[in-house]
Amino acid sequence: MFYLQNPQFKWLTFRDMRGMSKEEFATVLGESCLSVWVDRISSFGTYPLESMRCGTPVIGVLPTMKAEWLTQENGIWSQDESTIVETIANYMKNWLEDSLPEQLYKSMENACDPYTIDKEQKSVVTYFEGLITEKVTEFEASINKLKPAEENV
Amino acid sequence: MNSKNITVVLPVHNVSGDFETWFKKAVTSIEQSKVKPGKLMVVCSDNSEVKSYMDKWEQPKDISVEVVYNNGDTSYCGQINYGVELMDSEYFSILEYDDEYSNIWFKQFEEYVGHYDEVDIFLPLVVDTDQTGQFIGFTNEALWAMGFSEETGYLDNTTLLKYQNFQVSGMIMKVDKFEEIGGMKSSMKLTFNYEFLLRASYNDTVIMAIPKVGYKHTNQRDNSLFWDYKNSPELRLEQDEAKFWIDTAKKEYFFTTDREVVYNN
Repeated sequence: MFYLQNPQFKWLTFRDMRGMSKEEFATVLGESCLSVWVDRISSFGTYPLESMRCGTPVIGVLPTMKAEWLTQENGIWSQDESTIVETIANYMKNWLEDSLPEQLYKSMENACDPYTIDKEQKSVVTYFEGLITEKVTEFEASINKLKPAEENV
Repeated sequence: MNSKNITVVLPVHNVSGDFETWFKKAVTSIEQSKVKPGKLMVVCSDNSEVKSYMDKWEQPKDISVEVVYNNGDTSYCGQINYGVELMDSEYFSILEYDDEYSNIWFKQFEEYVGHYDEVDIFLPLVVDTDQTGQFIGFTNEALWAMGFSEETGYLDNTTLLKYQNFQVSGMIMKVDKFEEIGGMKSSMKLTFNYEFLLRASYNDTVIMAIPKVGYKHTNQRDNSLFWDYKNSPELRLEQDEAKFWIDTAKKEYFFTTDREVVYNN
């Protein structure tokens, strides 16, 4: 459909990102000029976020449930799948002329910022440390209840 | 901001017809560039009509301009060779008087050359238009189609032997490499672009297309050389002749010197 409507872009290559190794996935995404995301079902899909992290803007259909990182500015979002072909063609024209708004790239960076490996690791570690502390405290409190009354004095 | 490393060569053969309109647009495209080249060298045929025009021409103030006169070979290729011989910059680019640069081209070059310093020729994505400015198509874009050439984005000899349609106007090339491979050949009449790229790639020149629109080429303008080759009753080339020039380019690119082509009807 895209090539039929836009024969001037028949030299563009689309890649199916499924089934790639992590390394290939990251390389292809980093070298691409655009990601297309038309997955309405997996609202918690991380593909757009991964694309933004690689500096590659996303054209996508808004999922039924909106993810927390998704804002109006950090991608080119549409409600309607039928507009995607035209949106890609317009985007390509602007990309080739280097006239995409700076704001798009800034918003992409901002969207990714909370999801760095360091920050994620810290957040997971902090979560489990808190959980352990909470459980230990609860366990100690239960032990204390079982001790003879004079020992608790 | 200026890119001091680049000299733009603009060949002028004659100034008749609507030359002035096109020429002004071409020069304006340099003035409007986000990053400007270090110098514009206008290489003119040494005749009174051209001299008279150039003496009156109001040169742009914010770019360095040099007008030089060539009284030798004033064909398109001859003018380019003459200009490149005179320049002292590291890179040069070719601007035809009826074409235009996009305002991002030299900026893109600055960005890419920082990452790909092994590249000798950076080709732009060329937008072909008719003389009313109507979009016709792209040139050089196929290098970014997956599987088209040996390495995506690069032009190699094997690919050139299969496909001929590439555009060198607007390219930014290392001056040393141009001189090393022998410049452009005037004898190649119809296929000088093609023979030049074949010879360049045969001599280990690294050729890459920057995937951004860098140049607007006016295709088949009335009275242009290629328009004449297609439409003029006197100069029109037949199918067999076009094939002859392609075959000749494929034979001649092994030689760095421009040899006379014997052309019998």
